Amino acid sequence: MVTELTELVQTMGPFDAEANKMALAAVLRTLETETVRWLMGMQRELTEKGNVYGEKVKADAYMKLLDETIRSEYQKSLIYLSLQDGPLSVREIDSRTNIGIQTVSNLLSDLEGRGQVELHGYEGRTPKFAGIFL
Amino acid sequence: MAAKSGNSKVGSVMVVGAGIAGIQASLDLAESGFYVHLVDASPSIGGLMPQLDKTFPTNDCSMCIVSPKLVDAGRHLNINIISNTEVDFVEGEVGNFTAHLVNHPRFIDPVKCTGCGVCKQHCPVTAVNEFNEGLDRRAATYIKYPQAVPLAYAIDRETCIGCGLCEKLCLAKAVVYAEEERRSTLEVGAIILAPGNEVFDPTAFDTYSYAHHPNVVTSLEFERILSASGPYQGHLMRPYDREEPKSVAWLQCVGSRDINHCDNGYCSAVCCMYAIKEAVIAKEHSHEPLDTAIFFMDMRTYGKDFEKYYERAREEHGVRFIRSRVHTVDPVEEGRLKIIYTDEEGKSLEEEFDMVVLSSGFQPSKRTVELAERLGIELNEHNFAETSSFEPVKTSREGIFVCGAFRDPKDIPISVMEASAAAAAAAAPLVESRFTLTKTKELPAERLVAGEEPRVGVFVCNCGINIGGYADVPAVRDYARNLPNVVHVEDNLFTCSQDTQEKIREVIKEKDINRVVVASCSPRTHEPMFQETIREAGLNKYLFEMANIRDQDTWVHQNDPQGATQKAKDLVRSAVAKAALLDPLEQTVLGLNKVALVVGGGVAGMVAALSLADQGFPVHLVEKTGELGGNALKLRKTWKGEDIGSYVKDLVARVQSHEHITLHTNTQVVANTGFVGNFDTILEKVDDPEQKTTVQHGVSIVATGGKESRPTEYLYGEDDRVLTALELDSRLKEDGNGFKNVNRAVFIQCVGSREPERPYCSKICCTHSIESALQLKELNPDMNVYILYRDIRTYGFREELYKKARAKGIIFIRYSLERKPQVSNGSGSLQVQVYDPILGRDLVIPADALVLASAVLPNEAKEVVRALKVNQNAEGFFLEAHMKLRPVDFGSDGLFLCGLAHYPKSIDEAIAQAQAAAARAATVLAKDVITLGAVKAVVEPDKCAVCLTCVRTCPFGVPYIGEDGYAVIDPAGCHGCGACVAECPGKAISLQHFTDKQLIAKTEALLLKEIGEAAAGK
Repeated sequence: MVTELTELVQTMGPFDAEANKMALAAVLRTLETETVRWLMGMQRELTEKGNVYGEKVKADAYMKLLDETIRSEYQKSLIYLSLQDGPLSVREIDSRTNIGIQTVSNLLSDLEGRGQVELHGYEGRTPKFAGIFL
Repeated sequence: MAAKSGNSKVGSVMVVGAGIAGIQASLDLAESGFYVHLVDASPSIGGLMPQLDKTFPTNDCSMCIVSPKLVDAGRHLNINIISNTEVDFVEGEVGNFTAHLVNHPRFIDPVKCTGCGVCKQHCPVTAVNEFNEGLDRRAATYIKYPQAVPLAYAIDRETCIGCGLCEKLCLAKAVVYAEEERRSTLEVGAIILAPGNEVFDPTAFDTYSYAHHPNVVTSLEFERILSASGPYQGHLMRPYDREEPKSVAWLQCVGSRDINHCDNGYCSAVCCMYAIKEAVIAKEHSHEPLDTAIFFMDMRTYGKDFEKYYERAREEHGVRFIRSRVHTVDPVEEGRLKIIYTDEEGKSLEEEFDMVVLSSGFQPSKRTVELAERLGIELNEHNFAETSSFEPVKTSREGIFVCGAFRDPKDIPISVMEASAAAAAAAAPLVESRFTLTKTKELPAERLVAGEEPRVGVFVCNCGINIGGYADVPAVRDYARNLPNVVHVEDNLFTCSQDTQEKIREVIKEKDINRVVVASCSPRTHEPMFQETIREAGLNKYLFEMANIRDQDTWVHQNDPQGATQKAKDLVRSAVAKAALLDPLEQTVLGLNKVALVVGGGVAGMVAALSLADQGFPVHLVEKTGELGGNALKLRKTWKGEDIGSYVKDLVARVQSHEHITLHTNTQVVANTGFVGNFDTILEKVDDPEQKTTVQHGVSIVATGGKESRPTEYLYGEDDRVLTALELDSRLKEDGNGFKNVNRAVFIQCVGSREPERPYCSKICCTHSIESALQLKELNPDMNVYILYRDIRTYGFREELYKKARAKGIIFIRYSLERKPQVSNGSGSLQVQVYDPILGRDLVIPADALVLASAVLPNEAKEVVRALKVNQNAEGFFLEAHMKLRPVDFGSDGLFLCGLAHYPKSIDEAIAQAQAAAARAATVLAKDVITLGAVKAVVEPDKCAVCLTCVRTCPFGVPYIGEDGYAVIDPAGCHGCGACVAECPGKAISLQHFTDKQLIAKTEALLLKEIGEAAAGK
């Protein structure tokens, strides 16, 4: 496994930290989210000992949930960070994050609900969303 | 569980389904002396209405109008809301049912839960948000919507992973993971089913691209998009990319009038109107011009004021209406969609839109069908509850009634009407058990505070973190301590919790507090509860004031904690200033006359009278003519084929022989005085004005009926072969064989209706003409029958009749208002010329008989209008208090309406409305006394200039100039709206609890910034 990883890293070449600045920041932000930290922390408890209902959560189901949550939180972090320089439209967010127009649209609802993003205004028919940075 | 009373019948009713129909039925029953168990499978009540943005045709905010009903039901001492629960089966019979329930666990104790939302904020897992129709996600700990009743969270066990976080965070200790499914039973005397319908799921319709394109949405999804509480906060956006659409198309009849893609051959009855409303509202929400187009077959705007709404949408808002059949909806680039359709002339066309809304129909859910089967209720071929036209809310099982969309697809007002009708029907067999199971609250004597210095207690709420998370609550509390007259301050985690209520009661007594201020959430939901609390502590309930530091402060200033804290201080200071000037007010308690007056002896009037008389209330039934029966005497059959003649005959006999009904024929109402509970009405013999009788009664029901208009076109009155619909009915009734030799019959629809001078649809004519056309076909199967129409409006299951007519060979030809048919008889025979838009040319139809579907008009009722001071609309139909939620109430208390006087309607709807009016009247008559609120306008005679401003201003017609020469406002009639107070130029009127002195003190205190100023009483 280590050899495989080494070879993979070799094929990828030197890491361009500047080009991946936002992605790295998003990873950090994702790892800091309460949801991800809580789910990771509870993994063994829930899959090995059991949950509050006295049931053990299946390991593969839990991994799936964790994967989906991490992906979703990472994508939300990317969206949030993409708004650091000013308000953007959904298409502009997508062009900076590459997570797909529809996905950006869907995740914006969650970010708005959590008070992290708000509708800033319109340019013609295009709404611009702004991050709320306290 | 309510125990059985000593009577043989149980004085409680179980209402299954807590949508608007279930809630209305529950409120009417509870108000008329029955204990109600309101059972719903959902964690909260409300049904579909909270999901809607606006309601047609008034564009009222749906949530705003339903919310008070939710609160009323939630707070009612005699309504037991049983959420998260399903009915398994029912044993017994009318008067003595045992209902077996399955109570699903919600894992959060609704009594302890304060609705603070902390559990939701931290829950790590999410699920599709059903309330927003899948347009966003919600946590596994959830509440359906912020105004939900009960305002308590639930755990979605399917999604919850059982991590335990919510329990750790819940300060109210409301989380109960150990809760399990329970089984329980209820003893009830009657049952009302109001389970509602589900929206048709168009996923299987691949031709519309719904399943795989985000910009094709259902109408309910679009409601959520438009709603301020929806996923986009009311901004019109496409789900795909949030762009504001340039164009939106609505496709009608998706899952309705369709036996090809689904089995729903019926019309869902509401989709045309909601589509128009959505188009109009979407235009209002749009920043840039929005093109809207509705693709339809027939525009069914048949209800009260619907046609005007349709016309305004077309003429003023520019909504396009495209009569067509849609073939497919195909995705094109940039999230756009191409609609390929065939127009009326048969041309295949296509047009691109940014969004497509599918006007999905309604159907009973699988769960409802299974429930009906378990209860032994007969269903019709479409799985709706089977009922007869003459007993519209009675199911096939005695003692079990039905209302709302489960009877047939319908809009909100008719659901509300039917709900009240079901309440009346359920009450009738249980009369002997009225008030045997209801609860009343015993209260201590009120403490006299007159002459005492104000001693204000201030309770500042953290509302979990809703307030405390954003504003510095301890700082607000400490600030309040130094305000004038304040003798006690404290802050509470939840001021509304049970333990805090107890604490408030104790503190009031301990510290001799005589005014109370609570700084928390909205008075709309919580003021009655706090008023009740201080009343239980012996204080007059009007010695209470509230500062809304949540909805109007921390919720809107979450990003400005300092500002929010300052605003909270300002609001508290302002409330304290008013509280110091509050006076105890006395609520007037009056006895009442438990007698009803019903005006109009048609079917509606007779049904209303019998419904009340069967409940034991004496009724005076007044009929202007010498005969009971009204229009129904001229009708033959209902559209379902039931014999109207024998029904009316039986009804008349029952009325004439009923011990509680006093009949006044050839009599009219000429004068009325008094107020709810105590009216005096003078009746006068039509043929002998000197012969007058005064009737004393507590309520009035107006059922003055309607009539068929006399056409002024199409050779009516000039040629004997031209008949109105009712004339045809009469001839068929007398001798149908006369029509056996008729070879060609033509019906013309909308004669005098939907015209500029009478801009409403008469609603019943399409069904009636088709019914008559089928009758002619039966008499002579070779007869050529043509129906010339503008839109066929066979709403609901009447669509089956339309289908049958086409199958029988009746020919339908559409005409437009601009190109009406021409009728001539120059050569001796009748010739009807009409342009056929499908053939694209004029047709000339020789006719042996021409039947005109002439408009339905309200009967003139000038005396009633004058005597009862009730309002009519421009067309002369009586105006209800609220088109949606008070469809049988007049604006003035104690007055109700039903039948054709309200709007044209079929006999089953008239009967249901009459029963509804009776149920509403029973909510007054069942009580021994009437307690009136104390917030009333009061006149200072010395200042009154008798200018009549108040008389003209009052929307309820209460003020009058009394014998002493100044304005008099009867507290019994006053609604406390304050309109006269604001308008009185002499400042002669004040509104109790909102006096100028109190409001000025409140406003001045709000504007003060320095506490020193406040303390100095500046």
